[in-house]
Order: sequence, then structure tokens, then C-alpha cells
Amino acid sequence: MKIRHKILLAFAGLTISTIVIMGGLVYFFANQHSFEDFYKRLEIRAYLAAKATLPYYESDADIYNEIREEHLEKLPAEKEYFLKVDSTGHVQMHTDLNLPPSFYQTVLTQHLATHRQGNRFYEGVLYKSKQGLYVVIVSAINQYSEDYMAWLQRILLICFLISSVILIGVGAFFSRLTLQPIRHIMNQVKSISSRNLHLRLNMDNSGDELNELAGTFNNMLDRLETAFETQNNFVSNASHELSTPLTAIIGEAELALSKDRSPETYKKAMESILTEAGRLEHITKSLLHLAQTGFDGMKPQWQAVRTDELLFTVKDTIDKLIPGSQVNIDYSLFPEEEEKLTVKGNEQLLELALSNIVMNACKYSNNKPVSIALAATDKKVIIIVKDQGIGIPQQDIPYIFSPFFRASNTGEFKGYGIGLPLAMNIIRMHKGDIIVQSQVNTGTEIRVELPL
Amino acid sequence: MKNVLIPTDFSIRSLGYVHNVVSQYPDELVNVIFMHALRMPDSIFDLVTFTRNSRHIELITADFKDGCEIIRNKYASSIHQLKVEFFHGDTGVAFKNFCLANNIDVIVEPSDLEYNAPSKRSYNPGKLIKKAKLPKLAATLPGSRKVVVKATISSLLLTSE
Repeated sequence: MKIRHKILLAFAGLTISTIVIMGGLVYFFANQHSFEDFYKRLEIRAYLAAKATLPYYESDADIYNEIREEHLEKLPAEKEYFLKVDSTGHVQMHTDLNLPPSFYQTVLTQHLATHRQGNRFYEGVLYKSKQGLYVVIVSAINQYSEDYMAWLQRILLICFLISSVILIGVGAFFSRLTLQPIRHIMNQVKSISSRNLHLRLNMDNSGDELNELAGTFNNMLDRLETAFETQNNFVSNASHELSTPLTAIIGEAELALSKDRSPETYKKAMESILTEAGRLEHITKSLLHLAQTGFDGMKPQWQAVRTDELLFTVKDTIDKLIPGSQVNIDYSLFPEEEEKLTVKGNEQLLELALSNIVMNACKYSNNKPVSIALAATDKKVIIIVKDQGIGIPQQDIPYIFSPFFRASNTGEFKGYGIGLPLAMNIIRMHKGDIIVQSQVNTGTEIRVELPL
Repeated sequence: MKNVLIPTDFSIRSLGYVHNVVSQYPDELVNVIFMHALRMPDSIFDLVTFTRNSRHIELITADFKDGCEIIRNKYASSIHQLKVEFFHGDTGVAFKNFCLANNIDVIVEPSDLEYNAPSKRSYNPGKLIKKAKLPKLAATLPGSRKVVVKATISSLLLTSE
């Protein structure tokens, strides 16, 4: 069942049931009231009839009769009975009347009683006249309220039908109206495929929930588009990176073989081929690492790693790898307790990730001082790597973790764009996070967070 | 054991004054109470629905919490407790009562805190601190240096470059 129909059903059910209950109550109370009203009328008639038929003074009878004839119209099938009560308190029964004994009993004790037989209503009163005690019973058919109730019933029924039709119509309209934006979004999303990922959903400034939904969709599309682009670029970048040294090797070899040369030239050629091959090996190795760390299924060995030792190892490695680098370890936030320094992870991988980050810091700052600080909260270890290098342009920061991406201001530095994605993969494997903050030409601060 | 009060605007920089405090009392356990000063609400509805802390807790950023934990881990042996208290009011008497209630021994008087009010009601309690009669500890942020981006944990670092 569609939500539209559910809304319609709920709305119509709620309103129509309210109307039905209201109509029922109206009918019930009107019905009850019409009885009371009719009994009152019968009561008056009973007294009048008694006074006219059994007057204290003969002359009164005429007056009462006159009043009755002039001012009271005859009720449908109105009948009057005068039943004498004898001295033992026994009521003389009338043959036409078929009333229960309890009725007479009530009349005698409470001076007033009512009874109903189908459509016929009875009202009995106890009347004390000169001739003795009488039970005066007036009965009539309640034709007016009968008609009235039938009429009321008809009106209520018609009202119910009309309002139901209106409510269902309005409900259908409203359910369409409320779900209109969702259908709209659906249609727009349907039109977006891998070929036109640049399309976005329309958003207005109303700031309602559906707009937020559209915004969320757009965000997701942004990420999808980036991922798609990276994927697309990856192959071309990778083949480009691999083909550059290959071209150099082939060119060098062809040149050397084109004619006979002196041994020195051959040696030179071989040397340059060797460096290019080394570069090639480095790239393929990094790619392999990247592929391995990006693959979740592979679980390397996990052990407790002391992050402070990790920092010292990384500093040693960098000192050896990049002569002239100034890596300082900042002790100012070192926690006092050892257990705050130990994380679970693979030492080689973490070292690889961290040295990649620190190496980048050294490389892009032309060996200006780089500080590595270590701090620990109760749940995570934070490693802050700060340099005073060229920084990363703000618009490039979202992409620096995509393979082969290189920020726009890195032209004069050699690199393949593999280091940071590799580091990110490794840190993600450890359920950590890397947060980058940077200002162009001032420096970059990379915060690595590892859970304890 | 000393109870030290440090005014804070929940910036990471204001956490840096703990360094001063710890170096001032090297042989003593210290309770650090970060105080955030808030004006009393001035509309009746706000006064009726006034709660002491719960509504202001969201002013404490996740970075500030991390920073607190880092500081506590760093000075685990000299800091006994580190907590945040909200001070509601802006009169000297109220401040005196607050200090009494929290058993404050020393107030840190920062000389170089750039106060950035994190909420509409927050204000810099510098004047109140100046008027207070409790012993004070003038403090400057250690290692004033270029910070790449403000309000990150790295502004807690001490080394100056």
C-alpha cells in the first residue's frame, strides 16, 4: 500500500468516525429528549382531563372543557381512562388497557408513572376528587416526534454521506499535496545516472525536512561524483605514472643500441635505466601497499604498539631517508601514564603511514622544522604533525586522500600522490581518523587520531 | 591541595593556563576548576525555565573535552581533578559566593586571553576577577607563536618556534 493511500485512509477514517460518533450522539439525545417532552404533554392533559371530568364544582367542568377544546389540539389516537381506586387501595382495571401492575403501583406511590408500548405512550397520574381517588391515564401515539426523529435521521444520513465524499476528496488532495515534493525528488533522482552525475536536486530556501533530504542527496551525489572521478582518473594516472619511467627506460636503451658506443656511455645509459627502474619498482610497491591496505578482508597481525616508540622510529627513519630534515618531537603534551600511549595495531603499517605523513611534511616545506607531538585523551591517542611548508589550497583538501591526486601548488615537488591515500587507508584500518588543517604558504597541521 | 579557578571561553587556548598553574605549584595536588561566566537571563520566561547547567553543556566543544583529557593525562600526578563550572551572574557578590561554594584558593588572571564569547550570554569575567579579594596568579600563555589554525588541540603545545 502506498503512503498516499495510507494517509488518505487514516485521515478519512479519523474524520468520518468523528462525524459518525457526533451524529449518533445527536440522534440519541434528541430521541431521549423527545420522549420527555411528550410525557410532559401527556401529564398536563391528564390533569386537565381529570379536572374537567371529575371537577370539585360542576361549573368548573365547563371552563376546563373549553380550555381543552380551544387551546389543546387532539393528539393522534388520544385516549383517556379514569380508573377508580377503592378503599383497599385496589385499582379498577380497564379492559382496553394492558398495562403491567408495576405501573399502577408507581402511580399509587409516586402519584405519577410513565409507560411505553411500542409507539404508544402512557402517562398515569393519581387524582383526588370529590368522588374519591382516581388513577387518570392518558395515552397517545407520539406521531410528531416520530416524524421528527425520522427527519433528523434522514438529515444526519445525508450530511454524513456528503461530508464523507468531501473528506475523502480533500484527503486525497492533501495526501497528494504532502507527497508531491517526494515524488518530485524521486523523479529528479531517477534522471541521474552514472553518465550525468553532475546533476543535482533542486533546493529552495524553505529549510524544511524535504529540503534537507534533497541536501543530503546532493551531498551524497557530491561524494559519489568525487569517487567516480577518482576511479576514472586512477587508471589513467596509474598508467601515466607507470609509463613515464618505462618510456625513459625504452628511450635510453634504444639510444644506447642505435650505434656502437664507448663503454662509459653504455655505463651511463645502464645507470639511468637502473634509476628509472628503481622508480618504477617504488611506484608498483606503493600501489601494492595501497591495494593491500584498501582491501578490508586482509587482517594483518595486531599487537600493542607504543606510540611514543613509533614516533622515535619514524624520526630515525626520516633522518636517514631525508638528510637535512629537521624533525622535532614535541614532548609538551606527552601523557604521564604509559597505558595511555599504547594502541592496538600493526606496527609496520602504522610506521609506514606516519612516515609517509612526516615525509610529506619535510618534502613540502623544503626541510624546514617539522614537529611531531603526541597527546592522549581517555579514548584516543592524537599525533599532531606540523610543518611550515607550502600548505594545501582549501579547495584541494577534500581530494588529498584520493590516489594520484596532487594539490595544485605541488608542481615543483616530485611525487606520485600515493603516500597520503596509503596513510589514510592504514589509519582507517585502525579505526582512526586523519584531520587536515592547512593554510597556503603558512603550513599544514595533520592530526592523526588512533583509538586506544 | 589547592583549588584553582581558571576563566574559560571554551577555547583550547584557555586550557593552556593549566601549564602555568602546574609549574607554579610543582609539589602540590591541584584541583582545576574552569569557570565559564554567563549573565543571568533577563526575560521572565527564561528565568522561570532557568536550569543551572544542562542547557549550557552544549557550549563545551568536543575539542575542549579532548583538550581537558589531554591535559589531565599529561599532568596525571599533579592534577587531582579538572572540571567545568558555570557561573551565572555578573556581580562581585555573586562571584564571591561562587568562589566560596567551590572553595577556591587561587584565581588565575589571564593577561593575554582573547575572549571569544561562545554564546550570547557569555561574557569575559576579567573585571570581576580583578576586583575579587582572593589571591591571584597572573598568567600568560606559554610559547606565543604562530598558530596555523586557531582552536585546535595543537594550540596547547608548548614549544615555541
